[in-house]
Amino acid sequence: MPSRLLLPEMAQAALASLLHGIASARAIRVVNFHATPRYRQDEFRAQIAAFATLFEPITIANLPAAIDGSWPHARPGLIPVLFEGFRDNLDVMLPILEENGFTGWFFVPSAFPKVPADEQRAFAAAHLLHLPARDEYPGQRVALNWDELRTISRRGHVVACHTRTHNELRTDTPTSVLEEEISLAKAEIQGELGQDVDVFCWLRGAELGVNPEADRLLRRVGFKYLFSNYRIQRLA
Amino acid sequence: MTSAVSDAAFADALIAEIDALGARTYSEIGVPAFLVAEDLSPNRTITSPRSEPVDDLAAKLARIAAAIATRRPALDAATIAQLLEVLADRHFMASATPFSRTVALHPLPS
Repeated sequence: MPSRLLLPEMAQAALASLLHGIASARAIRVVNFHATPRYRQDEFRAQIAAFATLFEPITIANLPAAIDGSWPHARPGLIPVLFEGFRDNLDVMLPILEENGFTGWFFVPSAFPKVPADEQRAFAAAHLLHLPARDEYPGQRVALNWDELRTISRRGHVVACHTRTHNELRTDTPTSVLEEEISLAKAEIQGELGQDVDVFCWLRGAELGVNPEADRLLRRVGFKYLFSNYRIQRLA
Repeated sequence: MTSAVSDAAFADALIAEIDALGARTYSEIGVPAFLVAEDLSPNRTITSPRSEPVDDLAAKLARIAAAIATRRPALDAATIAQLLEVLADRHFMASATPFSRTVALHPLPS
């Protein structure tokens, strides 16, 4: 089945809803990164430094204020998102974020860190985890490991759940797959980090309403936020 | 007539902008986005929005949505994503030059 963005409603209705949300001051600035190779380090540093002159960091603690309209700062907030759990997110991007006072939001497929190093490139290729054009870790692992993710979390950044295997939600995704990609993924990350994981995002960013069974499960296991292609939805 | 030509040129430029943005290597660059916040929690509290000029942002999205409709009458999810991408590229930084074309933010890879 070809991949495509799924919506819980007709596209015109989705557009109308987005227009209303933006007109109601509900637009949150996010900048999405995936691989962050060192050969683009100067680019990332220039961009994050520019963001620091304009925006306040959004953290897990102040996200509710960014959502409910009680944001206390004169400057808008910004969420730097790092998808996929690549090792270069720590080696290259984390220092740049910290130099500029931003909280990084690291969305990790929970199975990726424990894939053996010599299998990670094949796993990435099979699960739409796109590595940089130039391999900067020849012969080594390309994924963050759990020690590194614990360090990232301890330093105040957000580790979020990006499913277990970088999975895309469909309207007919089987219950067993939902259990693995939602429940097991959350349990794995929480077990490794020793703390709650509140934020979830599907591959391709399906939002609430695409699959009601998935929605119920997200809420039942305790996710508080769903990041999607167009929205950040607070669930609890 | 002038308006029709102008609208056509606007739509042409928008399509070109969408194509240019879509040609980037998404997997290793920073891509700005506006995500709309929704509180769907059982005890949601919505307070008054701050005074950022968001009506203007919504108007800009409405204008490019109207323009794309002249070329792609059947709106779909991918097109909405492209429109939001254009909106963010143009207005994320509140500067005259779109994010993707600000040279200082895109030094050549080493």
